[in-house]
Amino acid sequence: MKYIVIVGCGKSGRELAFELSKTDNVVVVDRSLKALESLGDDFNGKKLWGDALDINTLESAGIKEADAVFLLTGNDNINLVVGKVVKRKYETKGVILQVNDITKKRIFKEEGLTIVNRTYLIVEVLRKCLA
Amino acid sequence: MKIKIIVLILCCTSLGAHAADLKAILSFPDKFNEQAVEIEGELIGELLKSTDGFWANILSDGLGIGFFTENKTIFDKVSYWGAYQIQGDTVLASGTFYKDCLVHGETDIHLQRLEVIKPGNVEVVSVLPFKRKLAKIFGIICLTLLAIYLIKLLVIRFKHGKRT
Amino acid sequence: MIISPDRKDFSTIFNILGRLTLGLAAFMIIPLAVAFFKREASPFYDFLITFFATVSVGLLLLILFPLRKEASWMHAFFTVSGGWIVFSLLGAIPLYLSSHFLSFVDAWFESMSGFATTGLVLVQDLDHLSFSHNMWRHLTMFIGGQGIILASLSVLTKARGAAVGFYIGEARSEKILPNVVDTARFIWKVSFVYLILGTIMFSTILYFSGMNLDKSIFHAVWLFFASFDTGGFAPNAQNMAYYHSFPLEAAAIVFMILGAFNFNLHFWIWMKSKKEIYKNFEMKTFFLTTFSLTAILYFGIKGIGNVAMFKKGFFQLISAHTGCGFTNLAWGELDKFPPLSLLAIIFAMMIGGGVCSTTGGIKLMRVGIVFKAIFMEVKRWMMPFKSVYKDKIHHLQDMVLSDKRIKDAFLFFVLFLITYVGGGVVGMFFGYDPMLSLFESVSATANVGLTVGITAPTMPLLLKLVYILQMWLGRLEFLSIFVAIGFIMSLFKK
Repeated sequence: MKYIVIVGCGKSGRELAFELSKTDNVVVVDRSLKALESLGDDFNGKKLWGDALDINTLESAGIKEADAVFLLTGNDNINLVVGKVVKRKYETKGVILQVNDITKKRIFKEEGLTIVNRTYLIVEVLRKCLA
Repeated sequence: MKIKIIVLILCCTSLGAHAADLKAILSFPDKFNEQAVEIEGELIGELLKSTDGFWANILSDGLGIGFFTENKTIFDKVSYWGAYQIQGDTVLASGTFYKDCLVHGETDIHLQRLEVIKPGNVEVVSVLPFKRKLAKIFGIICLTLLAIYLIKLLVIRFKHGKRT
Repeated sequence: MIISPDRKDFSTIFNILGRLTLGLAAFMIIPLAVAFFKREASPFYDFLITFFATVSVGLLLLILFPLRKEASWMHAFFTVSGGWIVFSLLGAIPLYLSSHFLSFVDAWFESMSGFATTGLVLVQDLDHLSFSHNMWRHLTMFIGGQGIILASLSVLTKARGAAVGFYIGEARSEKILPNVVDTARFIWKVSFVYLILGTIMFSTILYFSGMNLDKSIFHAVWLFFASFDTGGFAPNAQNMAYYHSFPLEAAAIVFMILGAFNFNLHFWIWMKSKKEIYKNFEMKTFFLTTFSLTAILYFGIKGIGNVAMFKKGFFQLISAHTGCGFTNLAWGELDKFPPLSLLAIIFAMMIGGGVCSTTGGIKLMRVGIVFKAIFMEVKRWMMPFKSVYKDKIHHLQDMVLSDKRIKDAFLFFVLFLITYVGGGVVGMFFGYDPMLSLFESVSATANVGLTVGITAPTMPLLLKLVYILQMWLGRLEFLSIFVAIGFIMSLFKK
């Protein structure tokens, strides 16, 4: 069972949490209590209410043991900063983040992080529909 | 003549005072503390070894008590110790009762004499016929239900297969 | 918002109950095998009958009630509450068939006592009970201690939220690992490691005291289940006093304490930092209560030599505090303890062990929080009006003592207290001494198992049923049962 930290409990974060919690240990971090509560009382994982920019929050989430971290806060800059910190300080194997601004893609590539751009994904899928 | 009768009665009552039953002793431990007592009961389990001697437990009136002795040979004449399907030797054990034995820190009796009154025996518990019947009946019910359940599963799988 | 169950909900609940019942049947194979290898013919049939009956019940439930809805939280609570009743009734069958019980209610009492890891006994002639029946008695403590639910977690792969609901329904509201299934696996692993350790320790001591090897191993396994699952059954009418062995009692103390601690703590110490032992809130509370209550107890029984004081006093207190219920005292000795010492034991039983452990009682965490909250409140009165004072406790991590936490702690504190006293009053109603009634009531509710003599086949039938109820309520920590009752009531409201 893998240990996964999801930062950001928005639409993507929540769905990912539900899926992964079926088979892995999932910890969800979010600044908003309401967002965490949307996971429900019977969520098969841990909910952590805190700011991902705070190292203590990350460590409470168990970042040291994490096999993967997903940064889905909706704010590209936060995702980038936290992603870099996590990669450098804790050498977490899988650091995956979501960006909205398509132009930032090139900057992130060299940091050893995996970037997922929503618009780009949809474009790719739509293209495949053509073929 | 009268004197003889009185002496006889006194002897009997004094004997009675010693062979008190275990329940009385444990209900009034202060009264019997450091007194000589005599208990009739069944030897159970086994002879247990400890750092300074040996322990034997006797069951009397549904209650158990431990007897301590340094001399293991007292038990050489014992043939059976109580267990499942084994009735242990019925013995008459006498010794000094201690409510809080300073040496062992527990309620015990330091054994002085052991006499086997009735040797024990093996009592095989036979299987009551109604149990065999019940086992067969429930066995059949169980298998029948299992069959029904498996058939149900197959039907569901078949239906599901047909749909997709 | 009241939950209104419909037919689909009931179907789901009974379906899951069916699966769990099949799980129980699997456990019955163990005593069946013991009877076979030990050539115990009559017990073999006792277990064969029960095995078939249990499988039949399980299959019947699965056939009649297909899984209609995705199992959820609510279903879990109902299933857990009902499961305990079904299990205790089924588990009573082999016991009753053994002819060592004066009535079926007595056998049911013993069975519930086992599953609830209590340890109050109504069995007759225990020293002549077969190996397989003893195996079953102790196995019920293992099943009840590690939770029927943990086993079901392996069975229940479909339910998403339900797994969590089961775990909490089982009165373990702390998660060790984020994923409940992983938590369950950890608990199993830890229990297994301790099982091996315990069996080796106990059997070595017993073997060197003259018991033959195979009996030593059986007794060792049984005593492990009884100590680690803080149950308190023993294969002898004299309980631990039978062995007259100081090393055995010392080993038992070790496993009683291990079993009374929060599984989270075990996880932290094994996997993270050993220093947690000193920093942990529950640990600190435990040291405090044990020390003070032992002192009170000794003060009461002053006047006995040192060996006696340690054995009788300390062992009994640890046995009471960890909710185990082992005794090294003779029959009738406990009820003759001086009232002050008896009270100390009662308090120890009331408090119990850690949350998320095999122990019962109010639990260390809650008792600690209640007293800390009172202390905080007093401090607040002494400080200037505007200052905000929020206290922290360290339990694995530093946590703020929020109002919700305090409220929950007080809630359980009160619920337990009401049940403790209520059961005591019922006992008094039947003519028993007030202090002794309270003792027995607390022993049943906190699933301890120490007795002052009230629990006996001759006790009133109603009292037996009341204690069965208390054992059930205490083990499931009220919540599951209240939710289940609320569920049923909403049915009638329609």
